[in-house]
This record gives sequence, structure tokens and C-alpha cells, in this order.
Amino acid sequence: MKAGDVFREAIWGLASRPARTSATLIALAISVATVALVAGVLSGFERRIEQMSFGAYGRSLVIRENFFVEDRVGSPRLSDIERLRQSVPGVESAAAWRILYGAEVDTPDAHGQTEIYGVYGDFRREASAPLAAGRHITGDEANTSRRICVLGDYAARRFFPDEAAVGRPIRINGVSCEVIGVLGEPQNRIAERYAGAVLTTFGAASRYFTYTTVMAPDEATQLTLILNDGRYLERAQMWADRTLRRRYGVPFSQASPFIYADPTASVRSLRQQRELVARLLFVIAGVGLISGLIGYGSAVAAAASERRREVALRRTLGASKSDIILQFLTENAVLGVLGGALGGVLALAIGLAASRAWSWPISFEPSVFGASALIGLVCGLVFGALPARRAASAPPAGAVRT
Amino acid sequence: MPHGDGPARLRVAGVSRRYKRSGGSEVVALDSADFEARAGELVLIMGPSGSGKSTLLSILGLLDPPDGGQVFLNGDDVTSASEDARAKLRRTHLGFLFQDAGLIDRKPILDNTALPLIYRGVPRKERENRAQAALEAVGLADRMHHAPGELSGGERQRAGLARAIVCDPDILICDEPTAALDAATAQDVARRISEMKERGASVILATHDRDLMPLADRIYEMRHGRITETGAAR
Ligand SMILES: Nc1ncnc2c1ncn2[C@@H]1O[C@H](COP(=O)(O)OP(=O)(O)OP(=O)(O)O)[C@@H](O)[C@H]1O
Ligand SMILES: [Mg+2]
Repeated sequence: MKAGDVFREAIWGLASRPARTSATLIALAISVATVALVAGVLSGFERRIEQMSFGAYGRSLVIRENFFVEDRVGSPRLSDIERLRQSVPGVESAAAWRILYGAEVDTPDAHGQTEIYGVYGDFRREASAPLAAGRHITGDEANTSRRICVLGDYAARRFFPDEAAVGRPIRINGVSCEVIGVLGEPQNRIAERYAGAVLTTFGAASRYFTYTTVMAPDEATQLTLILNDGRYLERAQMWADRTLRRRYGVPFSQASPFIYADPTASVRSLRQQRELVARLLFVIAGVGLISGLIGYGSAVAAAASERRREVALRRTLGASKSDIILQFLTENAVLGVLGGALGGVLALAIGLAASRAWSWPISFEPSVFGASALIGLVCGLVFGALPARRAASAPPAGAVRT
Repeated sequence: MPHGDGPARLRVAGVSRRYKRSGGSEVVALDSADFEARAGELVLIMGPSGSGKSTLLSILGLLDPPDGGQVFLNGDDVTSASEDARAKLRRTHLGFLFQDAGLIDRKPILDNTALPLIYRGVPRKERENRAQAALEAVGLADRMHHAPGELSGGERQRAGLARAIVCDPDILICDEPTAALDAATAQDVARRISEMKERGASVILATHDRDLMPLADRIYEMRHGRITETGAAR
């Protein structure tokens, strides 16, 4: 029997029983869809986590003043950076931030309040948004007090609604500053915080643009230590605490004058959530897959036994056992591929609806469809094999009995 | 060529077949039967219901191996041929016609007729031409694209005959082909069947229909699984 004929007979077998074929197809599609949907949700979660732990941010230790101790020693200072680099193991680079909340910003066309980030050291490891225009503040410039600034994407549109910002002056709390660059659209959660803000040098922020005298010029709103390896954040925190306590003379019997924030904590908790959700979803998908496949398998078996007469006739007319098995397997393979692909489409539709309605983090790779079709194919072959063998071994003599 | 002479094309010697009943008891459906059919003859197997006619035909048609005895096809012992070998022999030598015509329900008559050719690896175009010619020969050219359910009993039986002869078999096995037809239609179908022997085929026909006896070259009589040749009818 020729391959083309096997295929044609298989298509006939499916097309001549449209109701049964579509019921079988739907049973398979639903089971594949549950699996594809779970894969989509989990990969969406993973993507969200990746966005949060973007680049070096995932392995940085942030040090701020602890406002809730009795004997406050002030904010961490720029001079602490060198000390910390020497005593804390595994520090790759460090940055300092002087943040002015609600600074007044004036341009010829606009006026408003926003945050000013004075940057120092290796700040770009964190503020790594792409540039839309102009240039960035260089590492050398960051350590001076030059009054140059880079506007976030949204800030540029807000303060220069009609014209290019680069090269124009702005006034921050009444002091002028030259715009040298504009950030592009933020690509991740971390970059989003700079979208409405103005970045300038640490020195300019602490000397020129601030009008409070609560903080000394070398005090930083926060220091950031970027480690070689995010797994050693806890150890690094212990060493930093020990170093700064010694520096400021705060014994271990007292509360620490600084707080150490681990920005990956939120990522870690999200990962844990993901693990939990993953386990739950796998169970659900497993149950869905199994029950769908039971339905599929029994439909296929019923179809095969319903066709005993047809099989006996074909055998009488010269079909060998393997011709019959091949025909049934081809039918199930076609059914499997179609059902699997349909399942992929179903998962995509449900996924899109769910991500619209409940903002589920769903992401589908194009390979999901290939994988769905493959799952379908395997299910079709596995569940088609037994009925096919049974059908083929029915005695051909049954057809002659009258 | 003189019909019915020469060596046996299909011969069984001392074949028996027992069936297990669901209760556990055994039925001897065929008891040490001898039978032969030569080229160009029509052999009738007659006998009451339950006498073992269909059982004998399924052994002659290489559909079912016997429990004992031997089966010869063109002089070769094919008693213990494998399933696959028997499928191949059916393909090359045998055509079948059943009481209910044995058509596949949802296939148009043309495809039903062409079906045996698929298993012989005949290309599609040639299949269609040959099936069409066979249908024309039985007078069903205008019904090719109909489903079996849309045909009358006589037309279905003629379609079944077209399918049986589309491969030009050496041996045509018919199990009560006229039992479900009225007398006139039965005569028409029987006449078309007996045309096959003019083309050199051995036709083996099981029936209770005494009206078919004049067509036979030789007649076997079956009773309780035992078979005896009763000689020619004419
Ligand atoms: N598969 C089977 N299992 C058990 N017994 C069977 C089976 N097939 C046939 N028999 C028995 O074998 C005997 C012969 O059956 P067979 O079908 O060969 O008779 P027949 O001459 O063709 O009858 P009819 O004229 O009614 O078609 C009967 O008694 C029948 O009950
Ligand atoms: Mg019978």
C-alpha cells in the first residue's frame, strides 16, 4: 500500500465521521491547552522575575540611614565607600545617590516638581536605561559637581513638550543646569523610576540644588554595593554592618545606625510564589491532561471497535495487518497534530483573555505551537496504537459470516 | 478451452474446524471435508442453515486457517501460511462477494470498487479507470458517486460483484449472494457471476437457492459439517 493512499484513507476515516472526529479533536485540544497554558503562565512569571532582577540590580546591597535609632549618626558618606570596598568581600563596584524629593524644576515652557537623582561612582549599573538623545553623565563627571543633567523619558516630554531638550538649560530649585541627554523608554521596572526624574552629578545635587542643610555635602541618601555574586548578599551585609559600626562607634548592643535593603528580596519572594504556583499548576495541568486523554483514548477505542466490520472487509480484500495498523496510526497522528495545534491556539486565546482581564503574566513563545502539536502527535500515536493493534488482529472471517 | 478440466486450482483435503461456544462446549462446524474447484467452473455448495457453508468458504478464501487437514492453492500447500502470506495470496488470487455485498458504508461506490486495488499498489488514476470499467460491466456506471445506502439491494450486490472482479481474480468466492434479493434480481446477479467462469475463473458459490442449480458445473451438499459431492446438475 502506497504512503499517499495510507494518508488518503486516513483522511477519509476522519472526514467520514465528522461528529466523532470533532469530539475527539476537542478532547485532545483541551488536554493539550491546559499544558500549554501552564507553560505560558510559568514562562510569563519567569519573564516578570527576569525584569525585576534586571542586570546588576539583582546583586546589589543598598545602605541607607536608619531613622528609627536614638543616637543617629547621619547618612552614609562618600568616604565610607572606600572603607566598605576594602572590608566587604566580593564587591565589584559601588555607587552613591543623593536624592532630592519634590525639587522645583523650571524651564522656559514648564514648571513642576520632580525627583532629582545626584549620581556618584558606578551609577550606570543601576540606571541603565538606553539613551534617546545626547549623552550620559560619565563616571568621571559623576564624581565632580558639574551642573549637567540627564532627563528621564517622561520628564523630557513634561518639561520640553515642544522641543528637543538636549543643550537647553533648566533650573532646579532656582539653580541652572545644562541638559546633556535624555533617557529612552524604560525597558524594565528599575529603569521606570527614572522616567519622570532628573539625573545630575552627586556634587551638584548636594551643593547647588538642595536648600536644606540637614545633610552634609558628602552624605548620600543611599550607597549601593554591587557584588560579584548575588548569593553572598547576606554575608556582604554582615561585613558592611560590622565596618560601619566600627567607623561610627556603634556597638552591637545597639541597633544598627543603617538599614541594609536587599532589592532582590522582592524577586526572591516572587520566585517562591512562582514555585508554589508552578506546583499547583502542574497538578491541575496533569489532571486536565490525564482526564482529557482518558476521554480521547476511549473515543479512539470506541471508534476502532465500531469499525470492526470495515476492518474485516479491508482484510478480506487483501489488506495486511500492518496496512490496517498504519491506517489507524496515521488517522491518530493526523488527529493528534490537529488536536495539539488546536490546543495551542486555545491556550493562546484563553491566555490572552486572562492576561487582559486579570493581568496574568502570560508569555507564549512561538515554539509553544510546535510543542503542542508534538504533544498531540505523541498522544495520538500512544493512544492510537492499542486500538489499532486490536482492530488489525480481528479475524477477517467475520466479514464473510452470513 | 473445456471448462472444469485440468488440475484443481483450489483444493482442501480432510479439513476440519471447531468453534468454542461461549458455554465451553465445542461445535464441529466442518468435519474432515474434501473439496476442489478447477479453472473455469462454477461449483455450488448447498446445504441448510448452520451446516458449515460459510465456515468452509472462509477456509477456502484463506481468511481462516483450518484446525486440521490441508489447503492447496494451485498445487502449493498453503495450510500453514502466515497471516501476511495469506493476505498476499488473497490479494493476488481471490475475490469475495457476500450476502450483504460487504460495502463500506461511507465510501462512494467508485471508491468501494477500487478498494482492493489500493492494497495491490495500483496507482490512483488506473484504479479509477479499472473500477469504472468494472462498474460499467455490471451496469452501474451512473451510480458511481452514490453512497451504498443510496442503492437498492440488487444494485448493492452488483457493486459488490464489481469490486470482487475489479482485480480479475482466479477464484471468486460468493456466500449467499442472492439470498436477500427477489427472484428476478437474483437471476440477474447469478448470471453476472457465472459470466466470471467464462473468463476462466473458478467460481465457488454457497447458497440455499435451488434456482441457481442450473448454473452449476458441480454441486456439493453439506450437512452437519460433512460434505459430499452430488455431481453435476446438468
Ligand atoms: N464464530 C463462531 N463461534 C461459534 N460457533 C460458530 C461460529 N461461526 C459458526 N459457528 C457455528 O458453526 C456452525 C456452522 O456455521 P456456518 O456459518 O458455517 O453455517 P452456514 O452453513 O453458513 O449457515 P447459514 O446458511 O445460516 O449461513 C453453526 O452451528 C454455527 O453456529
Ligand atoms: Mg453462511
